[in-house]
Amino acid sequence: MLIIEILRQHKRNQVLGATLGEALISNARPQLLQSSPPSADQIVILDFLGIKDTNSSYLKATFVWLLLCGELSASEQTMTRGLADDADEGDPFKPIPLNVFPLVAHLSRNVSQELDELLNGRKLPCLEAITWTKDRVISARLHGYLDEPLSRTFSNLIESGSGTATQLQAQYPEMITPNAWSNRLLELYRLRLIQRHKESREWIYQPVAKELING
Amino acid sequence: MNLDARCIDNLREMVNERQINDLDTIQLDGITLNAILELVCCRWVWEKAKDHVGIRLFEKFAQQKPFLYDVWSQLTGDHVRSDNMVSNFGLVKLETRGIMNANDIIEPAWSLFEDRFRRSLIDSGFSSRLAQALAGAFHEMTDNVAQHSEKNTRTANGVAGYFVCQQWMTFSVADVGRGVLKSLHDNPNWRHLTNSKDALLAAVNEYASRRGDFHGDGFKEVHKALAGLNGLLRFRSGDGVLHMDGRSGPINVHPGFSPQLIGLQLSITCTLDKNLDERLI
Repeated sequence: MLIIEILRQHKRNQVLGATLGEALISNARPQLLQSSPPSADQIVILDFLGIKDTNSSYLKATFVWLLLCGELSASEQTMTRGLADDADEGDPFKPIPLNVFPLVAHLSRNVSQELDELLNGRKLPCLEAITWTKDRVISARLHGYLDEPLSRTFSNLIESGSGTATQLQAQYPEMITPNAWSNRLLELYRLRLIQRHKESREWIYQPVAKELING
Repeated sequence: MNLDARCIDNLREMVNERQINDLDTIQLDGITLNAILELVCCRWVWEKAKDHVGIRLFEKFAQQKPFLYDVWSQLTGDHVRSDNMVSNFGLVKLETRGIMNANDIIEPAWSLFEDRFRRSLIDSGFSSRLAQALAGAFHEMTDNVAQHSEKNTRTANGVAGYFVCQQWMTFSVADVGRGVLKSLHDNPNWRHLTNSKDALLAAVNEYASRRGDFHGDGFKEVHKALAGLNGLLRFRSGDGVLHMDGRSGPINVHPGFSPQLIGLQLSITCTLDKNLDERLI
């Protein structure tokens, strides 16, 4: 698990603009590159402790960039079209496939508002880590947008702790096929809310955070 | 004579057309902040083209307003950190600063520069919330200079400045980089744009970005900060210009053509009362 302490990196309590965000990512790049596929999953927490204000350009250059990298890594594995497909080829900050699961932590009211506005506008979810150990997020709060079926599937998986599409279908009967369960889980995986590993021929999914705090 | 940014457009045309004959009779009384920044960008082009008429015109103005020399050296990076300030009992009301690369924007000195702007606004009657929003918009516009700098070298030649009076403020940002049209051509979604005027409209009104759809919020910050205020905005790049006037309710957009000049030059002026007239330096 990689924790990036923003205040320690920038030494200021207001973090604005894409350029500053790119500087944060550049500094963390060597550690992030260790997550190049097919490496193991890496949870990355952007810790906003002590940060009073931010803006959407900064959040896009940091959190959204990490999300796009994670999404690209998931797309490479699943061969689906990614969010970052229209990025410029010559751009040094073009998203690259990284097997990362980005979260944020210690959001002030202003930072939380700015993040929610950005996520809702882009229909993206994000987990705010509340408690964690050195290798696992224990509890988290969901920010942003997650549609109703995905939200239900996410809650089901958190309740179960882990499971395959077939197990979830058996445990939470809905009028949908196992394939539909599989697609929802795949979408949550692409959005970096859940992790997965293969056992024999089936994918076993588990949420990035063990518990979800409401509100 | 007094010079504003529109006068600089005319002067550039006159230099191009060799219509300036007698420099000795020119007397510069006052100049707006955006005219200063656009004039130093013109000097950059005249210097590269070895246009002696243009250079002599600049020199003539600068002899009368030496502040122009300071801003010129900030744009070229000749005098690193040649900050200039006009302060009023410790609060800075007029200040410009050069941007040579991305590091300039993220170093602590830049934060202090922006903070002086924010504090000057508060001292001049702006609420703390509005001052914060305007300082945020100023940051986004200066950040654009670094973001739109040369792709390979990441270097930029830009300058940013603010001028604050009682219940009135302007800030201006100018660079001599690629300009909006070329920059947007990095993004396949905007490659259909063929002229600078349309590129400015796309960037300012549709939040077009050289990157994917997940970027381009800089101008959104400006619109957000200025919502409900009496504001005048000018964006100029290549041979395009966009004037936006928010004096009477919703912002009216007036796109047009301007004599060719590289880079992007912009200014945002707003007031808490009704008098939006540009102030002279």
